[in-house]
Amino acid sequence: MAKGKRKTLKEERDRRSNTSRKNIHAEAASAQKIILSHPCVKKPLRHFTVLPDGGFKIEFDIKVSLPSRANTRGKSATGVRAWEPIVLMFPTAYPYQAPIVLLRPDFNGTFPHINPIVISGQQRFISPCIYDGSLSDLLHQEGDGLSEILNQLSDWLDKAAIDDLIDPKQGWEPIRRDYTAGWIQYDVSRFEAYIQSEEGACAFACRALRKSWNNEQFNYAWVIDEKPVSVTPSLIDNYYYHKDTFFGRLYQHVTVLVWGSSELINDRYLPEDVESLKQLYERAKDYGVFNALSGMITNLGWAAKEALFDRTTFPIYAVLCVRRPYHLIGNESSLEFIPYLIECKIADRTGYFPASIAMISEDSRVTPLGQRYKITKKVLRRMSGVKESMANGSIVNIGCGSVGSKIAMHLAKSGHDPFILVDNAVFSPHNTARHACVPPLEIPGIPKAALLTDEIRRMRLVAEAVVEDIVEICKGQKMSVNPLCGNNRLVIESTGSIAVRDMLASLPSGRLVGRLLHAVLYGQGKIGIMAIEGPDRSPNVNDLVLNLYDECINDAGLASVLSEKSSVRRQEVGQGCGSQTMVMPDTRISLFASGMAQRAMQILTNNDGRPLKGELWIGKLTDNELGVLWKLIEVGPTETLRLRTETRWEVRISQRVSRIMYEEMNKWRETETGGVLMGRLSLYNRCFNIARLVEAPLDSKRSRNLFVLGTEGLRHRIQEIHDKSGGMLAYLGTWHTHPQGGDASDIDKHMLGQLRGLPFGAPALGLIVTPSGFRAIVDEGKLA
Amino acid sequence: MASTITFFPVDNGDMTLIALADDTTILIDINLRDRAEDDQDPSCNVVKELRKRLKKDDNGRPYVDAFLLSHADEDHCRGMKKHFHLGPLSNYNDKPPDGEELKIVIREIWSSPMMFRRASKNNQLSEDAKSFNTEAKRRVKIFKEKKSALTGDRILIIGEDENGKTDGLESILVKIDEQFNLINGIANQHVSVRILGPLPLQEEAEEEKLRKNHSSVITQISFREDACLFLTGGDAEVYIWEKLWQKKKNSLSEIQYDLLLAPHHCSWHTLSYDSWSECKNPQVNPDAKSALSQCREGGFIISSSKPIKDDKNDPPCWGAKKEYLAFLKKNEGRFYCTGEYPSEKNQEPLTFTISKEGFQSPSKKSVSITGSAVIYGSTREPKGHG
Repeated sequence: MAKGKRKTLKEERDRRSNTSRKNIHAEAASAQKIILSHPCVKKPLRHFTVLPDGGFKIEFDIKVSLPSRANTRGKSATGVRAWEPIVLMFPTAYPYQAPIVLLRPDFNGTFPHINPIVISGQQRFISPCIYDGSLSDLLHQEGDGLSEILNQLSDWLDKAAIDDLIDPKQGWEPIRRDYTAGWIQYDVSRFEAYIQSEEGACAFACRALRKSWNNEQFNYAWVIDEKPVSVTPSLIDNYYYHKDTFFGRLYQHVTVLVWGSSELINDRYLPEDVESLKQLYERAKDYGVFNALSGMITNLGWAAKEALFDRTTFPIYAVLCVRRPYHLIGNESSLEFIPYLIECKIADRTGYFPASIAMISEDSRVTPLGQRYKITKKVLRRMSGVKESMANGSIVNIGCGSVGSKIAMHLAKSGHDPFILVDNAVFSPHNTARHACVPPLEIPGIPKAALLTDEIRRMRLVAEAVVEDIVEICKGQKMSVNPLCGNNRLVIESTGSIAVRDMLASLPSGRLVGRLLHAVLYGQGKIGIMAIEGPDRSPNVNDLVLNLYDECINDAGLASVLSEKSSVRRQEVGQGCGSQTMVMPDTRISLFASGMAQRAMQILTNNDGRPLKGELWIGKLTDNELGVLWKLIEVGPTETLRLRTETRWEVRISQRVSRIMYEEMNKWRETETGGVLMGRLSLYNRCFNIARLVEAPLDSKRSRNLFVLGTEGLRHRIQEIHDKSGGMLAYLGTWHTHPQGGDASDIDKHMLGQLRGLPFGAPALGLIVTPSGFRAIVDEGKLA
Repeated sequence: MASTITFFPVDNGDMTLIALADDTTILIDINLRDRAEDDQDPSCNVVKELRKRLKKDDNGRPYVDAFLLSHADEDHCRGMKKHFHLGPLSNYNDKPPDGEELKIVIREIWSSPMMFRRASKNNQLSEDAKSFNTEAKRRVKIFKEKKSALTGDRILIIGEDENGKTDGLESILVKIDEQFNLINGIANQHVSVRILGPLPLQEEAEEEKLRKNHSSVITQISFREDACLFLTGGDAEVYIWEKLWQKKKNSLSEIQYDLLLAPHHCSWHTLSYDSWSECKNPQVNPDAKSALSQCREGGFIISSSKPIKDDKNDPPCWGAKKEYLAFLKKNEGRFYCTGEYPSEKNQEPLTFTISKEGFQSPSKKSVSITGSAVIYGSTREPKGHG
């Protein structure tokens, strides 16, 4: 053990005998040992002091590496000494709270990376900002974090010695405000717009929350809309306005913005040590904004007098704009905004102005404030790591229930907008269990769309509520009010309603602008489906859902969840009132909704992230219920065929099925072949949607001009597919080929005649495949 | 960030990297031994340390803007073939085989005209030196053909050659006593290089003398308008320094320094014609000593060598260190040995930072008790998000 080390420890032992043992912090001895072991620390330590609050203070000297020619002088040109005295103030909560690092009071304060001045006892200390992050975290990130703090300090001092604390390449480091008693929010870009080339000032209305914690006053202010207001007695009258809230007392206040002449570039760091209005005026002179600031304060003093203001103090927020030689770190602008809070004391006279005009005392207390960017799309995107550029166009949310609200909130929080939120339902108390928003207790009957709109607007994003039934909107004639016809980028449908889905599927692409994303959960959140339509709505949402049903044939688990009849049930939401809904926890909805929002974000954010094919995403809750596994099925464009008959039946053939039919035709060459069609039938949309083929039975007859479908085992095979798909794929009719081309022959019509009379009046389809395309004949069954 | 100059612990050999504030890099000599790449070997992994400090171009290839070879001895160019790209950039292999790293691109070579000399009994070249010569000649050829060259083909010739071998190369030639700041075709604000050697041959009989004295490129590199001066001269020995003193004794500012890389790994022969191990009373040559003692206030002398012991070894030589310490003492300067920094057992690159008031030596740091110096592999806790 070094001689010096032994001496200090002995000193501590002596001290212990004088002080009551329990008053010495348990970590004090080891902190001293760690500090002594640092190669730059002078041995022995200078002082060890037990603090009355249970913490302790260690004082020592640290070796700074001075540049070669400064060595003999023992001091660098920037005033850093070869041995710098350091004070480490260890709080009671050490080692869970890092020590505060203090330099000597007369340390050169004109460096970047300096925290506001720390006052301890009668002295004012410079506190270097030695680490870009929390020192308490640094203390624990390493097994020996205290040594790491000393390393950082040594590094900081070495850089200070050669004036290398700032890298002009990175930009100007704004004055540090990490530990201030409050902050003020404003939109920097809007403030910048007011800055003119001549010295000037303007005032803004702001709102402030003031409260006390542990005998300390905290102030949080918010410039309401960055529109200048004129300084009049009535403005001051508003100071009477306040409202007590759960969070603290809310006031109406004034913020003044002052700036200097564009000819005045300030390239010097000044330590943040302003405590009174007098000092602030001095600082304003350094920054070239004195006239603007004092003029504004004088005006406010006059207004207060005129308003017969009867208080002795009132606060003003002042933001000093300083022009720097180059851009600020992470910013294109070279304007630095430095905010303060002035607790204006009304006095009879000041040193600067005749008493008849100004009444605000120069003793008025001033405290530095932090600054927060106002919530903006830019801030939201930056925090989410979303690239700044995004294509234009709205996000239409059809359905603002639990799934829809969560997707919308995720998108909004990552800075996406504008939103059009469509839902005609009113928020009912039981919705709180799973909805992304919570309505105010005192206002009943808020429509879900309005509630979500309000929430999104509070993020200062654009959102509009449409509290109407989407089906009524679409079936109405007024295109102008139809949100689906606007400049949309993405339409997210999460109503859980098959009727809405069917209706959307039936719209021609001109009446549904933007890519449609259909999101739905099944089986108490065991399965989640996301269907994203292809370009030009091909495949459309129903084509994609059909692929889901087809998937069931080889996935019995999926089929059983989808066909669970009991998952949607009437839940009592009031006496005699029920709601058809699925019981599942909020967490499970979030698991799915976050994946859905993630995909939506990719589509919105990437240069053009819209997929080139249709996408069917099948999400399955993992067995441990902690996550979701998403499987993607890409679906090519659907071939559509519309009959020219009066009823205009539509036949939709998936790309996969159409390929199989053509392959079959090529395989049998000159000979006709065929089989059975299965899929989904919609009487209301007049649509056959073909998902799958059933091979022709062995007893089928193929010849040059005739194909006769056999019957051997066919009924069994159709039944099997029907059952395995959970009853969702049904018999639609038959198909056969005309390798030589040509329309339906008489024989074909005759064959369809045989189909006629399917049980229960089901319509039937006869599809003919020719080298030049599909032909169809339809028997309308009960609609005929 | 400020400009820096780093000396790597490469045993008795030289390797100096200058990294300027504008990201320009100048590498002077290399000694990349295979064992230095072995993490199990206690010596510093200088390959890793060098690569860590290099920038990558738009194609992701590591590069140096300029590489200066002081002279062709193996301990100044070892590893050239293995770690550097030689040949036109169009032949660059962006997908090196497994276990190999991307080769380092040399945007511009700075070389004395030695590559024009044939290998002979007295001029035996290592594989690395031969590869360097081939590459330098390739670049000269391109210049001769095209009268210009692009990044990766550029070369500067330091000093005229005898017998007119450098005729026609004037625009890529820097003559002795000239100063330049053009690095890879771009004028640099942070640095200026003065060429003091290789000394030109004045008479036929001198050639052997120069050879025996390890004729090398000698430069005084000035940073921030002479705020920092760095003097480096490869392995040049006593005869050369004696001659340099005679030439410069009336223009001292040209041989002044704040940082000197002790020539020839702190060899006694830099300062004396006598043998350190055999002569009973070896004498220092006063002119050579004068040439090397123009240290400004608080300057540094670096020995790029093995640790220096009080014994008969040379280089590094205890006697030479003592001489250097004596004239450092007058100026309150300090001496560093790369083989002893920060300790003999745990060597690390030695980095000086350039400031308006001279060079700043590194401060000693507390070594992490959980860091790789204690065990291989770090146990630093990852920082999460709450």
